[in-house]
Amino acid sequence: MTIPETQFKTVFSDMVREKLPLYRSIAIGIVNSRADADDAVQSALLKGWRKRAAFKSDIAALSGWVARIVVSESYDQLRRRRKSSLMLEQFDPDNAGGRRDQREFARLDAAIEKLPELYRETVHIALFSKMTTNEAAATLDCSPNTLYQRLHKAKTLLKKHLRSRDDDE
Amino acid sequence: MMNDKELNTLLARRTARQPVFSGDEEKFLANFWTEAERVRRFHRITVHRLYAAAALLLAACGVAIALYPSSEPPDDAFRQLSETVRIFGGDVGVVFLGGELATGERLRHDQPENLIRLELRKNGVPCELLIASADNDTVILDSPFTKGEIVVSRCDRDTIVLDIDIRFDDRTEIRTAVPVYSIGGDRYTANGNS
Repeated sequence: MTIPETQFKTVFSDMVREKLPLYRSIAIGIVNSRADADDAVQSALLKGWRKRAAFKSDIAALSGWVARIVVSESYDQLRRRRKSSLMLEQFDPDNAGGRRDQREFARLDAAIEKLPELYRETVHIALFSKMTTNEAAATLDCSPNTLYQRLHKAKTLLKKHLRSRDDDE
Repeated sequence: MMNDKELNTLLARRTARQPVFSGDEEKFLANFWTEAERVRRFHRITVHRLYAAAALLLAACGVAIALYPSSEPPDDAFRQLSETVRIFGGDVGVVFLGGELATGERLRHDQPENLIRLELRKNGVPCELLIASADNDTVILDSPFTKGEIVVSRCDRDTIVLDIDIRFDDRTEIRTAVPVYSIGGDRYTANGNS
């Protein structure tokens, strides 16, 4: 059923309240800065709001679509920050794990960034955001079976990227 | 070289270290709606300026057509549509409803290569619809008087189906699905005749 325009702002606000922690969690995992994460989320939500007419009958599809846009906006934000030479340290060095972990995570993040968009958003939404398989599948608008296949393919590509970096080093 | 187990362990450790970000959601939401309103105003001003520029150019076109009348009047509508698309650019959805220009957003950003003309009925009165779209495109109308969307789906080489859901002044609605047929080149009509 299509939601009338007059009620849609309320429905959209409720969706943002419910999903904001997820969107922020996805974004900060990529940009590692609260301000940049909020910028990326706001930009994704503005796109969602502008395209609302196409999703008025399916708010769940809109929230999943926004989650995927959050991933791509966060990477755009990361690229912009690198361009302006303000790249921050990856992860908190005071946290447990130390420098070896940092290096490994930085290599992994670089490999994830190289993945095609479909697999990149699968890793961030289905793995890092700690959703259940069904929740992640619904967010990514695919079946759990397709999600498993995408994760398998993403991992295969990650191994390939990590291996090529090993060879380079 | 990393094996499956090592990769899974690394991914699990990375997941466990996913930073947590909890902030003031209501403050974020308030900022979001302020920004949405700012963008809407900017968009509206831009569209109004484009509208004014297009109206001037279309008036000039009209004078030119009046001075040099064409032997094929139906072509004028297609010519007017393609000229408007040229003025507005590919990102803007261009629709004429009963001769009135209504602009909106397109979900695709490539050039709208199909020019479609068909006749609808608005409150029982014939109302010509002209729309420029790509194959499998959606045009979202959000002007003060005309809201809704037109979903364009290509069926085969010569046939396109329009799924129309438009509201006028939040009262009158047109909801219908109409096939249109190629009449040659990039032009389509409901009966396949120009």
